[in-house]
Amino acid sequence: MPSVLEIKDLYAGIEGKEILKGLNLTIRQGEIHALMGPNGSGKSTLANTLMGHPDYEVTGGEVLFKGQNILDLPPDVRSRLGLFLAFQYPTTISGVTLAHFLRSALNARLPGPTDGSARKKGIPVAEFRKLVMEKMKLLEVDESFATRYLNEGFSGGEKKRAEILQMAVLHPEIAILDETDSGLDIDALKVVSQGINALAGPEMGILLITHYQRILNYIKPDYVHILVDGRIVQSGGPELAQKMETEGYDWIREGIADGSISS
Amino acid sequence: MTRDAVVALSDLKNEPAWMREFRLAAWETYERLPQPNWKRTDISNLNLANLIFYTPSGQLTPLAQQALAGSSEMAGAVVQVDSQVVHVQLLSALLAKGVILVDMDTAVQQYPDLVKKYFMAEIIKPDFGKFEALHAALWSGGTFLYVPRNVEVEMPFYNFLTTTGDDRALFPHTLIVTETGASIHFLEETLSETFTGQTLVGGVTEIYLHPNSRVKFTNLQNWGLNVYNLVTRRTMVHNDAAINYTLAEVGAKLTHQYQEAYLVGTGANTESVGVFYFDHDQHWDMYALMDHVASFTFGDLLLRGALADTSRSIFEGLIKIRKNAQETNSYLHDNTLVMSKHARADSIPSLEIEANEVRASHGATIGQLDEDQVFYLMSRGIDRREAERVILEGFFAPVLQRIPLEQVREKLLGYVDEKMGTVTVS
Repeated sequence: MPSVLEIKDLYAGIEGKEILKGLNLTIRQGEIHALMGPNGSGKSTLANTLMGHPDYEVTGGEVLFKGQNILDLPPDVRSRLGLFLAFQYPTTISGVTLAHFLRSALNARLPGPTDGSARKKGIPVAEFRKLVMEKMKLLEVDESFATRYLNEGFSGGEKKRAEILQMAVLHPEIAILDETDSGLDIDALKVVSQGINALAGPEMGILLITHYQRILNYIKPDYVHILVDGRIVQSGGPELAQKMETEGYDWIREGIADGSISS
Repeated sequence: MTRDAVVALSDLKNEPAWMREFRLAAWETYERLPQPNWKRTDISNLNLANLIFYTPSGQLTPLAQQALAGSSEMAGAVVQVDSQVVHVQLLSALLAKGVILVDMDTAVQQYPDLVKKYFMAEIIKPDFGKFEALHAALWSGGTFLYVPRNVEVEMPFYNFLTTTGDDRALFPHTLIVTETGASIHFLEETLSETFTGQTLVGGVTEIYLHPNSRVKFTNLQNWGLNVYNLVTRRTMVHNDAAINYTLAEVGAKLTHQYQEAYLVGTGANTESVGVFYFDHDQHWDMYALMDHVASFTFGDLLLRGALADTSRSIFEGLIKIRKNAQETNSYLHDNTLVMSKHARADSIPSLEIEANEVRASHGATIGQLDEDQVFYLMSRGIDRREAERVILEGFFAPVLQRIPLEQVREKLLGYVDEKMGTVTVS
């Protein structure tokens, strides 16, 4: 049975400001959902809330993953359950190589305590190398990535590719991609999209959060949702993305204003 | 601790008259000098009257035996338990080249001319401060390493020092002399269990580098949490010679240390790295001086440390460039990560520059754990403690890369892991 992420009537915000106002969305393993929305609509709040960023506060609703309410779980437990977030702005961690970090992340998935005692044994180096090399090849990522410090001195495109590389190595069941396309030139966008397509499949559900329609030229979503002011106001198939491309967000705003779209 | 005790100690050691007189003069200095005026470190809790200033343990303890297990890869080793050196070894090839490695007490008996010339005579004098005077009067044990001209030794010399019980005062003295062109690495490991009573370790280390000689000095410090660790470490560096200090510290209840390099010869060089991790109510206070007396000298110090619980660090660094020290470069950087809201770090770097053709800079940062970094790691399945450990290891990386001995790096990280396992989250 495929894993399901169910967001039910979710209210959440940051610094006392409510941003998500009753959001509902269900994503199954194997499906690609695109979530589009203008600036300030709550896209990043949703991504951060789903992953459990401590600055974001949930004020209502629930999020079920594999039938379990995950809102009280710390981010590491959500991750080990099979949830993944590709960050819009991945943080830099100096002195920690990507390889070292990935190994820690994989070791944390080994059975037994997660307090670092598994780290001592960990997955065998040869096995780890093989896995990472294979994924780097798949994503056309240069080998030197592995020995560079995490996101330090990475270009925008490199950071996004490093995120997708992590996704490939950790093979989540549901991946949230927070504006993975933003800030990329067309070549970088193609490479990142190819990477995502290579990983997509029946094993992985994807929530592709984007401001622009552009990435949907490369990644074909099964469902498209429009987020405005903290709620999904329109859902449909790929044709909805096309409409966004030609008409922008204006028709949504007009629809809300004249009552033809309920907000 | 009295004048009579000084006489008794000297008698017990059957010392020559000159050393006895030296001790007695130092005792007078001790009595004359005021308590040290350390601005941010208070040792009034240390009850000196309660301490046994000479403890001849005389045997290898399990900890010391364990330490010696790896000594086959050492050029030589000196093991001290409490007030006494209990084991000395030196590769015969080095003995044949004229290298001297003995405990300090033996050096007084067998190499009086060398000891008279260097022992608290020029590098540090007993009147440096009250504890240095006390040390000079009551010193016992320690290492004397003399390296003749052009003898270069790659394997490190190893000095292990431990204590075995409560209420001890130890005054080990280390003296290293490298003649012109000599080169060595000296690893000092200080380690003990935590006992309930107070222990004072008042160690003095003197290093004298003749021209074009090189010393790497590494201290791995993991004293028990009952230890008051007062360190005075001073180095005289002549023309084109280089002293390289590495500090890796996690232990002691309280540390106060002077680390001073006097670059008295043209082209003299000092490079230091240090890393520390403290928790509980550990207190660590370091004063580092790079004193550029001659021209074309170079100094560099990089320190990184982290504080948990209610621990405290103070780093005071001074680059001094004297009038004749033209064409000098000197850099001082320290960065501290404060991992608990109850911990506190102070950094006081300063420059005193009298020459004009110089480059010198200092920089200090004191920061907290970056919660975005923690979240990022946790979002990949790494739990909070492990995330903190990964971030910390990354933070230490620039220093760790410059620690010359792999085993020191590994032991340090092992100690940090151990300590992080016991950290109380606050």
